Amino acid sequence: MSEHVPSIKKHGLMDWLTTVDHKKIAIMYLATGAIYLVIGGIFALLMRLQLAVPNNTLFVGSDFNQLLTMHGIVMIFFVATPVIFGFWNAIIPLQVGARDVAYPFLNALGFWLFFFGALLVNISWFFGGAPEGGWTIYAPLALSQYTGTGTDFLVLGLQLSGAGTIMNGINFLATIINMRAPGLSMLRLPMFTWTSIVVSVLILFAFPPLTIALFLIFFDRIFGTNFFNVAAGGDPVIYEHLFWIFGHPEVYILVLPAFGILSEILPVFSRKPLFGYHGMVIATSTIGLLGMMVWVHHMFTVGLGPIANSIFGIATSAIAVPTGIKVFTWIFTMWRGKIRFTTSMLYAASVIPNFVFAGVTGVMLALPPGDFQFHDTYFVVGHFHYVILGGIVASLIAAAYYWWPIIFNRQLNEKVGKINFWFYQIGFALTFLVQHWMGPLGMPRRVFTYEGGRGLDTINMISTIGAFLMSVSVLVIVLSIVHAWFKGKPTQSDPWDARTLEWSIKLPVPEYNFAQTPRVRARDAFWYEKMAGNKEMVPAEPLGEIHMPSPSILPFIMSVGFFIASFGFIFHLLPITLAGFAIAGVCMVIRSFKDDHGYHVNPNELSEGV
Amino acid sequence: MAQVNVDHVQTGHELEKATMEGKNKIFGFWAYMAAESVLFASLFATFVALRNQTNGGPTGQELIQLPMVFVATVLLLTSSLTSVLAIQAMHRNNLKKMISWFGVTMALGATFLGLEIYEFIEYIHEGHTMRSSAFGSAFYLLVGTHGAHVTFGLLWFLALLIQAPKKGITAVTAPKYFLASLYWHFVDLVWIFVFTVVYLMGKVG
Amino acid sequence: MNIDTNTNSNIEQSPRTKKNENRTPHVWTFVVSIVLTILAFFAVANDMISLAFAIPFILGLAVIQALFQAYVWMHLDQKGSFWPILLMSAGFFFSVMFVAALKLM
Repeated sequence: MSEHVPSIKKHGLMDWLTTVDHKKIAIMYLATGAIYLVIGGIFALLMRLQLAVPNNTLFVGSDFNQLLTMHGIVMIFFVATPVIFGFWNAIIPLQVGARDVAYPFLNALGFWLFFFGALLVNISWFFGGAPEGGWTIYAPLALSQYTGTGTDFLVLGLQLSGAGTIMNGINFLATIINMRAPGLSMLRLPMFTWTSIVVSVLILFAFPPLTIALFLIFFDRIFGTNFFNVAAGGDPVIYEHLFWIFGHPEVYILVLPAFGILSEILPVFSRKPLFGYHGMVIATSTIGLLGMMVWVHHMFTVGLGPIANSIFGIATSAIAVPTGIKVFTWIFTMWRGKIRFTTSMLYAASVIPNFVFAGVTGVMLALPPGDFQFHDTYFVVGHFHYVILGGIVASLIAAAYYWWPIIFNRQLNEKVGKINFWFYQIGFALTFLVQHWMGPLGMPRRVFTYEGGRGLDTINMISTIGAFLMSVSVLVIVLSIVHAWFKGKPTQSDPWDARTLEWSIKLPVPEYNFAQTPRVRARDAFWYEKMAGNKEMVPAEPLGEIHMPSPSILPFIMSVGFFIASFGFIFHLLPITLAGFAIAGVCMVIRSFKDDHGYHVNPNELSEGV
Repeated sequence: MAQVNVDHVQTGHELEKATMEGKNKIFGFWAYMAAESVLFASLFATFVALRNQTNGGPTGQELIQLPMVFVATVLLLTSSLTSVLAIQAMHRNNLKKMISWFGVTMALGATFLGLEIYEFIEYIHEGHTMRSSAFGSAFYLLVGTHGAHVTFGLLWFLALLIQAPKKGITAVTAPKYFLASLYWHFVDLVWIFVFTVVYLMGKVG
Repeated sequence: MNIDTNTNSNIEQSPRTKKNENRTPHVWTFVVSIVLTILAFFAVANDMISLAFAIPFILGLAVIQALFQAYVWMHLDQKGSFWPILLMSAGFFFSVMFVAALKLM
């Protein structure tokens, strides 16, 4: 154990390609998410331009369908998901007092699979057009008779990134369950970590059905099977079931981390502990369990019969109860607190009314008679954008402002942050609030135009203006990030006077996170020590050498292999498919045969702090 | 991180859980198997929904030969037992015994796979293919996915057995043998439901 | 697991070790599995047993056999199996739900 391997560290680009450090992987997730946010945002703006005036001819037919499909896919799978994984990677090991995640190698593999999956979907533009069957990829529309190679790119790209997602779920579940610091019992875990447990379990059970649903489409398209070919006995409703068995939990996979983020930020900026911690834990778990059992509410108009619709309608409405518990605990957390309205707090506080609104329209949609009216109209679009932008994205921006010092050792400008906040809120409300009227007025979703003089002209123009205001907000954030990156000064440690373990580390966070594993003595661990007059956590072990895993290029090459294999499938080139699988297989064999002994660092020898 | 408990390295008992890495691997593998259960459930669900859609082709009742399925089942069951015996040999730090029990497991698994391939060829001759009907598509995807798992398990055992004589039984290799054996049990577990739902229920219609 | 507490245990003496070294439960599980499998095949091959009984019967046998193997062969009877059991039961619960849903709807 004592041999000191001096430096297997890589530099420059190779450092990023080979890293297994969760903090660097976090930055890569966040950066990739940010790039796709801009791309997906441009798709949205182009759609809103087309819809600004009636009978517009800017993007018609297939062009619009491609923008629409790609906007949904990019925003759900390549923006919201990686940004959440970015925060998981950056924060969870620090919140549980661990030096690393449970499987650093798998973590890197998960990222690169996601990266190449996203790339595969997005380069479809250059190979005969993007997918155009909607983000739900419904059969039979997604079969080869109706849509082009774009769908193949989409199906295979999502398989790759989906595999990466399952790896993340397993990794963080194991990290949280197995690698907590001494004294950090399950009921002392910060809420962000708690929601991550539930989300990891949801990923385990929600993503495999998606894998199979995509496989069925893939087999029908490429091998000519008959899963959805009604003439040969197939049944497209199977696809809808499998997709929504994944699709509904996916909503909670995205929104529960957002709830966790709120439960971290609101106490810090109210200078009060989280109200009703146990209720929050129970509510989170209940939402997770119910979230797995309500998928049919997306299929009320399929015609599964009144009994099925009633059961799933009632089950869906029941989710409002634990969600309500959460909303009230947040309000009671702020109640009589010493509230500081930082940008982070503004965003977090804005989520409460916006998400309540989204929840109420959600219950309206959960009732089958109502759903028959709203189905496939802009009411649904308004509803889920309130969930995603008002709830999830606003929380993620709040998290970015809050955790930026830990991730980048810089602080984002607070004044600019407030400008960005107001542009975001006003733009968001203008864009999507009015869509709740568009729907009942008769505007169907996914259609590229509408007739003038039917009461839709003005509200569509308002919606388009709102979309541009939101993009101003995104632009402000981007400029703020660039400014902080180049001109920002290193932050002092614990800039927010925060409560949880991740803030007890002196910034910048060293590669081994904790020189000594801390002993956790209370729920808000760092706050407890601060109140007890300690500046730092009490260590649970003496200083000593720390074992670190070696960097590896294998995850990158393995993902490239699967990427190449996917190309072979799409263009029916068997040799290329086999070559791709061979590359991945060789990487697996190397990984199995070559033992990774890692290397040791000695915190005594390294200068701590800056 | 690699807190190796010296005593356990010497005795070899439960060596797979002697290090944090080993414990993490076993925990994560259970999570993976839980996900795999739902993956197979999705395939079962598809199969159950489509199993009577034969499109004029042969039905399950006409195709299925119960004796052959029974033999295949016993083969896989026995291989599951021998992989347990291999892990017991590992706990006794008996490398040779472990390798030979894993060898027996592989032989049984390979025979099972051969039988399955033979069965598929028979069915294709009788006009039951992936493209002949929705029933055919669902049948081959479900049973084929199980077969792919068997194949992967065999390759996994092979990779481990090539290394085993050189690397022996250590705190690093023990979790690997243990996981491969867990995986094999899981594949056997799925087969219980495959023969019940696909073959037995298929036989009675 | 309590690897830190029984550092002075010896293979021959520790009762927990003995139980693990014991082949009997594993062989019994094998015998039970074979018997259950034969029963299932018999229930289907025999024309005297009605369909309405045979299908739930063989599904029940499959579940019993799976539980036996999970607990004995996959060591879920050991201490520290809380999370594996929780995850696998949840997986089984959702599996049954999904299959039933696609069968019925």
